Amino acid sequence: MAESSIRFDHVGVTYLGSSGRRVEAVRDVSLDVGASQFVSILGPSGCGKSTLLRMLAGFLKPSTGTITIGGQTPLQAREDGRLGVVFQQPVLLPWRTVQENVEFLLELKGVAKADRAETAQRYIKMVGLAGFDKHFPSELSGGMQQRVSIARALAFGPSILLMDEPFGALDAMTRDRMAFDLLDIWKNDRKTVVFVTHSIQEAVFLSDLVVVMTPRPGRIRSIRPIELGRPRAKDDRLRAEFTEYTRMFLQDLEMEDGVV
Amino acid sequence: MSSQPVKKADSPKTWRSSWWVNNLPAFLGVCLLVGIWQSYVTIFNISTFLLPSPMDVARVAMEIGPTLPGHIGTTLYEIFAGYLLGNLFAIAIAFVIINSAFAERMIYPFLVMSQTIPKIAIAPLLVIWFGTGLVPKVIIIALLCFFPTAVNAVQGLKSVDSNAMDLVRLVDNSKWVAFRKVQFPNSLPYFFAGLKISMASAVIGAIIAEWVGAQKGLGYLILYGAQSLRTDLLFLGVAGAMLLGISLYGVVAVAEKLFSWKSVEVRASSGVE
Repeated sequence: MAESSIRFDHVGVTYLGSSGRRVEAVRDVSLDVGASQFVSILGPSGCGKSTLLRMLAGFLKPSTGTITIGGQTPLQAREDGRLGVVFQQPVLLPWRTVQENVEFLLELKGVAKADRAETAQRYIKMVGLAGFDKHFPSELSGGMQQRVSIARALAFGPSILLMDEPFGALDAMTRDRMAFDLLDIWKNDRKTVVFVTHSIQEAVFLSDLVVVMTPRPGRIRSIRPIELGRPRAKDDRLRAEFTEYTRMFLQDLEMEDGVV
Repeated sequence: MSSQPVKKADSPKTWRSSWWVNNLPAFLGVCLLVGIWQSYVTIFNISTFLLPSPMDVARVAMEIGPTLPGHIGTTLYEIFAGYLLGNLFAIAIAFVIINSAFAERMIYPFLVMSQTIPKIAIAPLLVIWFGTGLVPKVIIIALLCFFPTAVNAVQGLKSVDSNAMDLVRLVDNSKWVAFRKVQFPNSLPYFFAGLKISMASAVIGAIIAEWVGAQKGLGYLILYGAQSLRTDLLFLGVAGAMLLGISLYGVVAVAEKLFSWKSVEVRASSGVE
């Protein structure tokens, strides 16, 4: 299973800003993520979290350093169909039904119609949307749309799931519910997940490993394993250890210039 | 499930009743206008020369009845040819613009220029160059109707979510696949909005074109009515052009219903003077 491990080796990103000045988005990020781990990247906006994710997906090349996914470059991993992505917005195609949206990537891959329909059905059910397959995205709530987008990513069968603040646009209660359900799904297939968030509670509750980043330029402040055991239940959030982790991460985030 | 679905689309029955709710006011409004117009002319005994009544217009339509289809057919043919040419041109321009920022900067001034030139002023020039046949009319119509389509198509193609394009890249790096599966369908509502405005422009273009030199057509009928002081004929020409315009607009709207996934309100003006 080493195939889905991820390694950042002294990765830096500098790009030319619109005013012609060089902007350093990410500086010297080194990180090892083992296969089947759930890792969260935690930090305020502008700390380069999403940039890291875009590099992992092979959409962006690091200016310095290297990134490898099970020995491959991100681009190779992507071309092998090993990467799934969930964005902050659901990014559904509004002219396609739920079923057709979940089938979308399989269709591009050339999977036979009957096969992809069956796969899509399975994942629609898994994310709790059974019976909504003929609905259009505009007929669903924001939380349901994001469920469709998760089903689409999973149906594609990637070994690594990249999630860019997937619950960031949802209300707090829906958000909690989605986190529980995500863990529920994850415990069955144990993909490597890289989860970008700015919610400390979400990061602690979901992850094996939490990476705290600080902004301007984006650097790693701390890397902490979360030893709360598995599987996790809602009540785990009330445990003293949970509070202790939350306190530690708050401190990590506040170390930078005393502000978050 | 924590989240509730948004209310499902209306059932056929409520759809039908909402059709009446939507269209009855417009229908009543037209009836009211025609009624007031007719009573005004009758009660105050206005001469036909100044303002023909709806009845007068209907009468002259019966009079010249047999020649009417010919006039309509001529104008329709010009519109069809000009609309087709103009929109093919618009699609080509839109493609060039979205594929090259350089070409976009080069072409845009010409696009704006093409719209600020008063079409009625260059119509005589086109007659000098191409005679009084079909060609100058098709050019004027194409000139009027390519702009709304081009601008809307560009906007539609540019409005695509870059994340959706990235999604395709997870499977296939080909730009063509991303275009076919995401960018093109995404642009359809804008494209059809452009086609609808474009159709309204095409009708106006045909009338203008016929004023400069024609032996047939609704524009010719209007001009002939004005020059021979036959106000009823003039009104008939205007009414014919209007009905033709509404019908053709309807045809595009039906095509939109069939091929697009959403109808966008037509709001922008067509740039017609």
